[in-house]
Amino acid sequence: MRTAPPYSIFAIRILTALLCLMLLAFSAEGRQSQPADSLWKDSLRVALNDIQAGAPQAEYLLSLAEQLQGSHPGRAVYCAEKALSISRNYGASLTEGKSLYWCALLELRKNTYGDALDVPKGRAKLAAELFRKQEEPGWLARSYDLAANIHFNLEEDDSAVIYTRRALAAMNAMETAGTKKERVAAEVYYTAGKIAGEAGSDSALVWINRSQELHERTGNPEGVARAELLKGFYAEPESREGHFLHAIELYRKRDNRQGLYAALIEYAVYCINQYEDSGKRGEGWYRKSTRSLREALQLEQDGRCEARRQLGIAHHWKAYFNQEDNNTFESHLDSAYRYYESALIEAEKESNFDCIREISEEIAKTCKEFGGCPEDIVWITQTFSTVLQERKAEIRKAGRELTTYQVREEQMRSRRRLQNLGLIAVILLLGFLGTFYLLYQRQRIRHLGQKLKAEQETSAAKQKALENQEKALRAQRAASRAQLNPHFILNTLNAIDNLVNFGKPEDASYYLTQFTHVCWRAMENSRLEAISLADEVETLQSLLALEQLRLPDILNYKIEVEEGLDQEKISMPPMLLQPFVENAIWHGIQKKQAPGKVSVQICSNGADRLKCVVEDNGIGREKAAQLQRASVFKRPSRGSTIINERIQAIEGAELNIIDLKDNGGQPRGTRIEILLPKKTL
Amino acid sequence: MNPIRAIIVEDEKPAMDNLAGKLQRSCKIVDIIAQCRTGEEAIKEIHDKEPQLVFLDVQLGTMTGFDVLERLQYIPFEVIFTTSFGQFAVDAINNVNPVAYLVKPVDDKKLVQAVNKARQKLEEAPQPEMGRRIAVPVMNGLEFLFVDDIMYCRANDNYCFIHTVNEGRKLITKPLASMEKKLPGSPFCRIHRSHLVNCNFVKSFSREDGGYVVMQDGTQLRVANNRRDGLLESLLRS
Repeated sequence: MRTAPPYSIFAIRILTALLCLMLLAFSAEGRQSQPADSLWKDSLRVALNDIQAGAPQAEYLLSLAEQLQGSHPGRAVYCAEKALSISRNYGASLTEGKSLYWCALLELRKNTYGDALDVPKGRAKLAAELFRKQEEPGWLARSYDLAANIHFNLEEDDSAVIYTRRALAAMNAMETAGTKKERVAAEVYYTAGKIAGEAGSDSALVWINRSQELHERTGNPEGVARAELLKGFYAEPESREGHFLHAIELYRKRDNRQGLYAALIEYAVYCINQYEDSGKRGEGWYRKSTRSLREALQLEQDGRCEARRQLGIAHHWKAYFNQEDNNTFESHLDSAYRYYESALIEAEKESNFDCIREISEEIAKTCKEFGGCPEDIVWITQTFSTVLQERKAEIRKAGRELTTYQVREEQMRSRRRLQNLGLIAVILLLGFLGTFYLLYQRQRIRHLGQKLKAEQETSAAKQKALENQEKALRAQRAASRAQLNPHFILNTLNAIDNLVNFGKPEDASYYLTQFTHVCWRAMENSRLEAISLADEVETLQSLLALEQLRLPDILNYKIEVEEGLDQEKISMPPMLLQPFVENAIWHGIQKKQAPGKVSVQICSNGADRLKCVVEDNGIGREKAAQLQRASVFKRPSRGSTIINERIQAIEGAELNIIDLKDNGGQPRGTRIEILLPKKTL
Repeated sequence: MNPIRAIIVEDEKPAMDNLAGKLQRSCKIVDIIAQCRTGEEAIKEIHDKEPQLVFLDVQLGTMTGFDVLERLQYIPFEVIFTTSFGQFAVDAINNVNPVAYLVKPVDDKKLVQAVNKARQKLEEAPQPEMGRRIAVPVMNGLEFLFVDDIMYCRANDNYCFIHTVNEGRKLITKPLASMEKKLPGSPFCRIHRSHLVNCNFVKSFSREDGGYVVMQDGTQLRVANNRRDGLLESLLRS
């Protein structure tokens, strides 16, 4: 394989490219539907696989439909239809009834009027029949209620009344009182109220109030809002507006945009009617209606044509009442036509033929009222009425063609399956070729890689030796000058800055001189081999005073030097204790979150040794390290090794670090002991 | 102009007084609603008082300013770091990309500049958007990420990778469990011992090979058997 001639590689490359192209074309087929929807369907398929086939699957689908009805109506319909076909296949008649009910209900929500309601009407009645046989009064009541609603929407009031009566009877037959019954009752009462209201009966409000009460008790705020809106239609004239506004408020609070849209439109219709009745004096009604409609327009809900149609009507009346003022009249008449026009366009988009018909009627009315139409409006109305005719014809034709289409679809599908099989065979072949090519390439790369690695290894060894040298040099340099901690410098200056800023110049001056002393000592440090004990103690004094300025409420300190030691004579390496004192403060005391103490003791140890002790009652080394490990911010360590090396470099010196524990074995601080040979200057 | 509600976090008393005094002197717009001396106190006060701006010291006794941010659920405020640390702290601070950092002792002019910059940012950024910002621990410090930008997280021993839409891949120095704690509930879903996904970026879901999801960037992630139901739940009902 390794000596494959170049033209074969070339051929394989072309084949691989072809393979990729074909794969792309193949996968494009599946991408036609919306990706989010296909993901949802995939998930549904997987979920259904885990559920026992038959009624349980259908029940699961129905529960899903119920949950999705508000957010994804399309998906809910899909679930309900699927549940229906499953329950039919498995002869589960109770579930079939429920599926029929849900299919009809969801369909009713989609197409509120017209011929399209024939199928849901049939389904609701079929469901009722099934539930009657199964003796399920709860579901029976729901199905009758649904049938009554459909009849109501079809303006078949007599049938609506009959079905409402049946629903009431079925509901009364329910055995268990409780939330379930109350929920059904709330819906049935609502329908009864609606039908009674439409018939002009006084009992309407009683029904609606009962329904609202039950909705409230069963915790259904949507139902409460719906009942409130209905009260707007059928309540006493003087309180109607209040009900409308309250309903709008309720929907707004629930953030139910669809409900809000409907409520805003209904309120606007009410306002327009009021305006129509009160004439020119009722300008306020005109303003209320347009404000409400404009809000509805911004919601961008289904049924957009309705808001625009109503705006057209509002402007129609505004023009009508202002005929003597030429400017107002013309501008509002024009607005009315423009809104009708845009309503037509929206209605066409939504295929809402009822809306197209109604708008055409409004336009005809306006034209007649004011004697003649603008030409473009005549033209657009004619166009849309043709559209209307054509669409209706199309729908009728589509119905006839559906069966033949289904047969043809089946044939197409089997043909496509064969084609796919052929395609898969070709792809498999190409896949084999591609794999061989890849294997060959990998072999070559591995060989190259080995060569490279060998080269790298030799150079890495050299690099490492260099790095080691560098490190040794750096350690030497660092050890020769014990530095001041940069945070100590900046934090101290900050504390002094505070004194200057807020009226304590004398203190500021004092601490500045202390700071100068420490700095000076640090600078001298690199030059001198040894200083007197007195100088070292003085430096520690200044250092601790400055630290206490920074931490006034936290830090206490004490420096003790054994009496009888000749401080001026005894010599010591400069700033030997400073790093230990700093560690005690930064890691022991500051992490304690409570006041703490640092003490420094210097005394003789035998005749020829000096003992220096730095002790703190902080949190201890272990806890400090633990906190550091827990932090997301890993700062480089100050290198205690450097300090240790410095002590080790002094002949005869010794360093002990003791973790102090209390009686209970809990850490209570750290003690550093340094033993030095006693030397004199 | 509305005052900016601010909290100062500083463990050293004189430093606290100094910064508070300078703010009162030079930045009257800043309303100091709390002064915190420890990280723990800062976490509590930020949570309770919802400041718009936090002056945050890097070194705070038991923890660092970075730890304070990391332990908060969201970062719906602007941060000005104050520090007396060296270059490595500045590097870590720049990583977080705060409004500004100030070296102590603070220069009044720079303090005014930083506050103005914070004010500008607060006016530009709408609150809800900032509310979905979290701080994640990366190598030597923190980074801010928007929750809606996170596609999925993948465990890698004690570390994990976060894959984002706009900012590529990030190595997080904490285990996946800590990310799950930071991103609880919808749209995030733990689908495997090693995977936490944002359901909004799942492209498809397959049952084959024991179940896996395909993310929008084409990555396939295994779904554990016992976590599949949870994932389905989130995908179907969202």
